[in-house]
Parts: sequence; structure tokens; C-alpha cells
Amino acid sequence: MNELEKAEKRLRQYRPPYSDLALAKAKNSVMGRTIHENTTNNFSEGRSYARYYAAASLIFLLAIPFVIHVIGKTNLTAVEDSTDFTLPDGSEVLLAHGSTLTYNSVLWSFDRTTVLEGEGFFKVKSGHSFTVETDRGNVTVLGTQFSVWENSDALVVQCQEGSVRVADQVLSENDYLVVSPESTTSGKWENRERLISKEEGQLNFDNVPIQIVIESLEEKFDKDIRFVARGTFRFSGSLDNSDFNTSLQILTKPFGLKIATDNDGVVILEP
Amino acid sequence: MAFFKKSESESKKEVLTAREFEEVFDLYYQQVRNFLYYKTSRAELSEDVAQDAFVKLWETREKIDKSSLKAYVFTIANNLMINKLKRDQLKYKFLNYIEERTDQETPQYLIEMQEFDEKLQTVLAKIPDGAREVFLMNRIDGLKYREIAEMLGLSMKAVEKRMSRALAILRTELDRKV
Repeated sequence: MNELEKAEKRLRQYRPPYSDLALAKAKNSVMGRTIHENTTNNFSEGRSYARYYAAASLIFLLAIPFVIHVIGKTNLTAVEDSTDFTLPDGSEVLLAHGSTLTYNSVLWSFDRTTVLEGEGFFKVKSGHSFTVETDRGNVTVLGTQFSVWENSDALVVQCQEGSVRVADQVLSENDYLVVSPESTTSGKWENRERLISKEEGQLNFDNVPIQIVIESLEEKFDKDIRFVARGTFRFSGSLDNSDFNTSLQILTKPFGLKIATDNDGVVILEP
Repeated sequence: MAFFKKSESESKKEVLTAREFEEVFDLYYQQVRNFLYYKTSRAELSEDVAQDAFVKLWETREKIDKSSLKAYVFTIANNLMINKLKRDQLKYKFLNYIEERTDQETPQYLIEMQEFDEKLQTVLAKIPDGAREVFLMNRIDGLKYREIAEMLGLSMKAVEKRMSRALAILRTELDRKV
């Protein structure tokens, strides 16, 4: 094969560097700059473009839920202390320090759904169902006052007025429910106080599930505590926040719980 | 396509319709774009100018004779490109191309071809613009001399002349570089 023949053969394998996609784009662009500009004169001729309009409309329609989701998404966070927030329908929520509540303000009149991370006290205006979603389950109410506390281990719900549905249980006034991986327990809450009342220098608890007390201690002393005991323990009393070990002793002694330490932190064991 | 061809011969004085315009685009856009590319070796510029040429065709549709659309759009494209090039003197580099897959792609073949491509492209750059675009339209796009003549508004003789000129340069330059 001589050089010219070789060149001819090679040339037949050459293609200009344009893809089919580029061709489609070019056509779209040119049609957009020409026949689509004066649709009044030539629209009847361009009926094959109906499908482009249909596709564009479809994309637009499909995008609406996404746009509503993005525009309406509202985050409430209690940055420093517990903070009161008013929701669009006048319902109130008191969020504990560091807790976040997310809801969609655009859809609020149709869908009173919130997502809670942390702890919140709710005062719900009556109306259609009001839902608090947490990782451990949803709390649904009609109009009531209740507290929700959640972390990775447990969900605690306390109902103060009206009734609250959690999972498949209905809580009425002064009922509380603790959902943890091991068990679900419920009972009466004699005290009408809020779940937690934090004062300067002291942690005060009044008949509070032990998981909540532990979480408070972890937060105060920046420690990891794992609670592996079974059963429900409710703690009443004050813990001095100056000393971690003393607080831990005060908390566990009355229940006869044991304290152990491992690499990950403190473990509270069964009696 | 049939619709367009019919109306091209039957209704010479009617104004180009949107439907016909789309058909003209489908028929000739790639050829116009490739023609500009063979002329300049600038892929993006050729695309832009080809699109501008069709927009211009649409804008001036009331003044043109439908029977000469093909040559007309090539002329517009050529003129637009010449205007652009005046502002920005380009040196021809035939480097951008997509290779059609073959079944003999051993590493040795690929290396050999890479070397040969460099050589071939240097030679292509030496062919004068007019001859090169005609030659590549024929060899790569597979257009017949008659079609090229129609598109570029040349006589058959002129196309043949450009072809033989391109081939002569190719032959001597390739042999010289062995």
C-alpha cells in the first residue's frame, strides 16, 4: 500500500468532531431563533413542535413539588436557650436548646407535618391532624399540648392536654410513653411540669425518664453515656453539675444501677 | 423530505414555510457545518456560523428563490465565516476529529496510526482552503462532485480541478516525508 492509498483509507475513518447531541442542540437553537419567534404566522406549520411544548410543560409540572419543597422549607432552631416559635396557624412550639424543627410553610394549610430533631413542647391549635415526625416514630394530634423528646436511642412523648397518638397507642392527659429499641413503656405523669427544667448550675428533674436525665448529663459534661439497663426508671431530684461522677452516683444509686467504664465512655448497667 | 423536494420544483415563488425550513435544516445543516469545519478546522466556530447561516436564511426567506436554497445557505455560511476570519486570522490545524472504530486496533496499529495522522494532517493543512474543503466533503462526507458543485455554486469543472489539486499536493507531500 503506498502512502496515498493509506491516506485515503485513513481519511475515510475521519469524522468531524460533532455528536448527535450537538446536532439536536443546534437544531433546537436554530428553531428557537427562527420559526418559534413568530409563532402567529407559522404556528400551524410547526405543529411537530407541539411535543417540545408538551415536554417542557411536563418538566415544569414535575418541577412544581420540588420548587414548593425548596421554597416552603422552613427550619426553626433554638440556638442558645429554649425558644418559643409560632407556626403559621398560631400553634406554638417551645424548642429546647439545640433542637430543630422543620416544616413547609407553603403547604402548611393542607399539611401540618413537622420534623423534630431534639426536644420540643407543642401547643397545637385545633384543626386537621398535626404530625411530628422523628426517627423513632411519628406523633399525631388534633389539638393539644404535648412534649416530644427524641435522640438516637429513644423517643419520649408526654401528653399534657387532649390526646396524642404515638405509633398505635393513644395517650390521654398526663400520659407519657417511652419508645426505645428494647421496650415500649407507658404510664401516668403525675406532675404537670415540663419534661425538663434546667436552672443555672443545677439540673432539676421531676419524675423524668432516666434516658432524658442521661442525655442532659451528656450534654452538660460532654461525655458519652450508654444506658443498657432494661426497664423504665424515673428520676426526681437535683444534680449538681460541678462534678460528673457525683451526679452519676446520685442518679444511679437509688435504682441500684451499676456504673462501668470502657473505651467509648461510661456504661450504666442493670443491677 | 419528499414534501420539500416537490415544493421546491412546483412552487418557486412561494415563501419558505416553517415546515420547509425545518426540512432544509435537517437536509443540509450537517453538510454546511462540516464544510465550514473542513475550511477552518475550528469545531465550535463552525457550529456557530452554520447556525447563524440558517437563521439568516430564515430572516431573508422572502427575498430568495426556493429552487436555489442549497447554494444560498452555503453562500451565506461561507460569507459569514470569511467575515469572522478577517477579524481573527486563523492558522489551519486539522487536529479535531473522531475516528470511526475499526476492528484492527492493536497497540501497534494505534501507534502507527497516530504517527500517520500527524503527518496526514500536516499535509492537509498545506492544501489551499478551496481545494481542501471540496476534497474532504467528497472523501469524508461522501458527497458527489455534482452535489458539491451545486452546494458551493461552482461548475463541475471547478470541483474536478480542486480535487485533482488536492490529490496532487497529498501525493507529493506524503512521499516527500517518508
